[in-house]
Amino acid sequence: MTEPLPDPNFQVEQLLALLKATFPDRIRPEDEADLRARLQSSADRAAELRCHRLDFTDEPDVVFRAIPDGG
Amino acid sequence: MAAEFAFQPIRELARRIRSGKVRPTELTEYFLDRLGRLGPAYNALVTLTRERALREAAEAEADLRAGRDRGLLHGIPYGAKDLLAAAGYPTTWGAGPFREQRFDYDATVIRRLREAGAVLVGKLATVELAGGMGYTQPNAAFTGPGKNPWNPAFWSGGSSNGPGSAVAAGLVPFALGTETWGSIITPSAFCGVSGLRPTFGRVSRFGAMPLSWSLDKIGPMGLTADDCGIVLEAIAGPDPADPTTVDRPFSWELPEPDRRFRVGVVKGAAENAQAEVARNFEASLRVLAEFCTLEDVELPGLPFNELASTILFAEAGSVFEDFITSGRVAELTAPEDRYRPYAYLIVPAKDYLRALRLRKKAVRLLNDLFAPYDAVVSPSRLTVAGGIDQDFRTYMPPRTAGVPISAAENVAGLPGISVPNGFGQHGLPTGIQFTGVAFSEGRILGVAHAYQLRTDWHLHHPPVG
Repeated sequence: MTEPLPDPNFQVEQLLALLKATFPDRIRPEDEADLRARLQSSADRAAELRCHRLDFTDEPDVVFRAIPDGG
Repeated sequence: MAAEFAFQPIRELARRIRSGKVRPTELTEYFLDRLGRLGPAYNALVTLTRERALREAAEAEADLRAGRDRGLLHGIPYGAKDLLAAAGYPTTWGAGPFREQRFDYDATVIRRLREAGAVLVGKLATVELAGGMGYTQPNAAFTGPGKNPWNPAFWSGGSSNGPGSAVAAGLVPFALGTETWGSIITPSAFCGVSGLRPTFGRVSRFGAMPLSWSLDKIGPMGLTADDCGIVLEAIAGPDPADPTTVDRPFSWELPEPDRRFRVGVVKGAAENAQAEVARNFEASLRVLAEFCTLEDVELPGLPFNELASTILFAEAGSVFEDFITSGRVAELTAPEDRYRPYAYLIVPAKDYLRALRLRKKAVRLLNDLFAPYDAVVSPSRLTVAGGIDQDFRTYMPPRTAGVPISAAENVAGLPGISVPNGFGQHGLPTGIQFTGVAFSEGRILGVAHAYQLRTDWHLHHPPVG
């Protein structure tokens, strides 16, 4: 079990600032509150997922398949 | 021209074709006229595929004359959500920036329906980019908000709004929709039609707009569960162009009339539902009790909403990374779709991979839980449709409230079918959903079909044209 992020609000403000700096003039001031809420939700989700135990045998399902005989 | 072709199930139209009461070209002209004339009233139509339809219908007719009968769909017109490539016509994905986009090939599902003799009469409206950019209200496509045939002041649901409206209004006998997270079930419930979300891997996604590679599904929407079974049989099967497809034969057979089923009822699934939705669900359970053994089923306490959101946002962020970073996202219709996707660009890889790893556990648990049942039931949606000017957040309970059945099913890639089960506020339809373990479409369709034999909600149609 891993602890959730210690301060997700701090992360969110950093990420919002990063997005605004990376994409200047794309995010209108009136849209910031909603985007901040979306980022907060992402942080909350990540924290929730980290509360569930995984071990080394828990592999993800991935689509990759090696091509047999060189394709 | 006879008006009684609208609102007829596939078997009845097929019977009329075989008996010589109607020719495929005549049927096609009828639905081309009806879709072209009435589709715009519901913002359901993107492109009428007239030339292709008449050509396919003529071929179907010639084949029948020559004794080549390709089955129940032979000569039956249909519409396809405009996320699906069809050679010769634009494939707009419902988004202004892609209005001129064309592919010179058919999506596998379109090709398979052509091979089954079906006739494509129109590309149908979708919420822009399958609703994947985070829209919060119906006006989120260059075609305008999807309008509900039961009352055009209300939404038709999303993102397969065109298929939902077109089938409900009798503008096409059936349609193809897509679902990543709710996009077949929602418009089916809101419009009062039957819509099937197949198991992930049952139907090839080749030629469909990708939104989330591990969540996207393509499925039929029709008047009845039987219609959905007939169409699924035609479009299912492995496809080298889509490596996630699975070689599991699917053959739709009507269940024995006196068959009894074992059905799970999702515990707490009607909590937070509108009173009429809960009332109709209870009434449906009473009908089911006549021919099913009902048992409560409790979903495992896993973060299904968090899994679905994390996977969807990470994959959609990758699919549309160039579109978002180029700034073209600003050309979308819904104001919120122009900035919300920026959040997708910063989902950490470790969070995405953690979600995929947890998903594997969740899939096992859910399949084990559902395995004893022919179907597991819940209300398709907790509310009826809202107004076309109404923000979803003003009437839909947040996804985090209540039992996360929709997220669970989609994360696990499980099949589900919504069929109408009554009417709620404003006289709008409500639905009941039958879900099952992976690749159990035959069983859930069987229960839904048996339910429809004992009810007449699927025989109610809006007063259209």
